Amino acid sequence: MKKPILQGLKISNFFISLIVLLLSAQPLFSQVQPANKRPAGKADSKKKDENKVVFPLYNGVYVGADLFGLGNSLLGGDFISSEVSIDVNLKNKFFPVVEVGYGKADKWQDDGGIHYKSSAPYFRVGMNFNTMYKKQRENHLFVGFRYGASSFNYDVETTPLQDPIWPGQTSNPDIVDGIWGGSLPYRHTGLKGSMQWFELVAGVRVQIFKDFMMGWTVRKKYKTSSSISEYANPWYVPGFGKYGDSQMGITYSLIYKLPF
Amino acid sequence: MKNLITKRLMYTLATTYIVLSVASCVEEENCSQYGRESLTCNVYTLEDSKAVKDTLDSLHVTALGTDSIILNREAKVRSFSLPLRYTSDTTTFVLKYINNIKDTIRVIHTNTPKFISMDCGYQVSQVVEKVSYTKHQLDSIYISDEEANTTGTENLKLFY
Repeated sequence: MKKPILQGLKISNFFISLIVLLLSAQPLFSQVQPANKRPAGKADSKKKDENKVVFPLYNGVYVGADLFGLGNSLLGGDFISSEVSIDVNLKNKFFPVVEVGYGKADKWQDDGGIHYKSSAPYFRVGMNFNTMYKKQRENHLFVGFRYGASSFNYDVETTPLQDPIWPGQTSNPDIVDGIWGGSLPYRHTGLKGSMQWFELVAGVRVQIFKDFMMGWTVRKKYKTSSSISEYANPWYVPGFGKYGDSQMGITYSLIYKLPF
Repeated sequence: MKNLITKRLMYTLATTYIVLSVASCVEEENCSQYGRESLTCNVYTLEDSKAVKDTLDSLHVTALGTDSIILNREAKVRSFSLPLRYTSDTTTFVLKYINNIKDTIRVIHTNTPKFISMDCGYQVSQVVEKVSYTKHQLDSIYISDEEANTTGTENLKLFY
């Protein structure tokens, strides 16, 4: 009975976090506001029109590396992933982006004998929309979307424990027939799976030194289609996370703006 | 300058809070839908060539070859569940009625263990291939759904 309440709290926690994310960016961007905050009169608005910055179509290419996937694993997470992203600044407003990465899971169940192993590349394509496009600084507050895909192999096994001294082996503890007795062995390797998904993205990117930037993104991912083995659901989908209909994701990236 | 440092500190703290909050938003998996599958049997009788739901009094169901009692002299049984073996493709049940007459139902089926997740473990999918039975009191059995399930969907119609 506690689960629906907990899930409700978690969902509201997510939305609160999203709102705080957007609000927390405000002090940062306020740094680039002009010091003079007089109410804009007619003369001011005319002056603004004259000083209005018109961005060219092409404003540079950004290359980023995600550190969250590596850090998450070091902090005890089940998955490890590394990812590189490339995006292009068009009119300081639109940022078409490609993300390519490699994800890996090699996990033994905590209180059982299930071993799951998978590793594969993944990619995403999409677009960010910079809501602060009128500002000349390299500070961006953006929303966007991604379409992601991954094709992967996975192994799942629960091998019975062999007795090294006495002949025989223990039964598979995870598929014991509680009514009729006995257990089933389970070992399936090289299972093939694939998945496509859609992501809604919100994030910030700030300049830390010259052409170097850092940025966070928070993502909500939705499965659009998948192909899985009849013997096992994938537990981990590279680039998506835990297999399911939807999943949360975070990236923390260090970004370099190419000098051309 | 002091103001700028304060703002940056606030930004760092807020960002850290957000990331930790979102990272904790791991949706718990609901494993209740992945319980043990079984065959749901409903009791019918034929009236004017139409199937009408019926009941059996003092029905006793046991698993042949074990001392397991699946149903212990239940009164007015309209529906009951039969669990199939994991380790064999044949499961046999003995039905004993109020007048001590017995019928035997033999189910031939497949067993396919499927990994669900690390949290939910495995589920064994079972599909009925053939049903044979004695006709001491039982008239006939109709397979309405071959796939064993956890939802109570009818699999076998038992006609008396």
